[in-house]
Amino acid sequence: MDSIELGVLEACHEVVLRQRELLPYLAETLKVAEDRVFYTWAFRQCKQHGDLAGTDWVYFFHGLECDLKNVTDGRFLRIDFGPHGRVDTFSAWGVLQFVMTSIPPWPEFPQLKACFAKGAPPFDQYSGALDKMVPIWDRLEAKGAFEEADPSLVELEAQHTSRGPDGLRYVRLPPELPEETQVDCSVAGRRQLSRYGLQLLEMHLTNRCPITRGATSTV
Amino acid sequence: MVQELKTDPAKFWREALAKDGPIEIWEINGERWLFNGNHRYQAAVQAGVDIPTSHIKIVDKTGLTIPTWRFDQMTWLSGLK
Repeated sequence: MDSIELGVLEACHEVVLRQRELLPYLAETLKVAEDRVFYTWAFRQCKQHGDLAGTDWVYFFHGLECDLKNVTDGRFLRIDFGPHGRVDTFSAWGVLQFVMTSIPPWPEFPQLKACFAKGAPPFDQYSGALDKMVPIWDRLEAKGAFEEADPSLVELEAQHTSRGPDGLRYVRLPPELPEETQVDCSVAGRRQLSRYGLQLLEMHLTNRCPITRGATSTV
Repeated sequence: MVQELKTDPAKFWREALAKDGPIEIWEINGERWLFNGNHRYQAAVQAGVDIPTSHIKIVDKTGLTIPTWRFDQMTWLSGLK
């Protein structure tokens, strides 16, 4: 595995850490439990955007995600929610946006920024070229570094999906299935680090200078 | 987004699927509502470009009660219009 691939793995891990770091602020703003944040948005029971009280961060929910941006230093984190309100999942685009904007107190990724940038700095959340990232991502997939967040839900949705005469996919889940579980199906295929991916990451971090490990943050 | 669609629709749709998954439409009591993919849908309409059928998923949500909004009430995500 080359240094860029290992760098992307490390960035995936950092994204998860930062999602966990910011989720409590989002929960507090929405006045719900952390594992209810995703459902609160999914069922449109909160404001789409606003400030995270007491911080320099703003949030914007869209689709099955939430963008978080630090208005002072430009750091950007897209929370790619997983099933059951989990935040240990990520997407290639979310990781790329994080990489391009991450600066202290979060880790910087100078090698990855140089590799994925569309142009010269300064960078923002749209400065990364997804078509430069995808080949690396696909290689990590092929090597088994990622896995689906909940394969059983992916399978459940597949069992209840049919192709209509119009060519569209129709999903008709059993009506007795809780609404939360139905929404979980939409994010069940999101990626998380596999056991193998975590092992690779641990080896990579162990081989690094200890001072660069386990960077903490006060948001 | 509209410009990207006009320039290279194949690249746009490929990347959109990778970024945000399929456009998800919820069918609630016979009415269809966009749940995921509002920006893409609007951009495709403005650009006059077809959405690939493989990018659309329609989910039956009969009986669901959820607040809904019209397109002209939509808040655009910064940098995507």
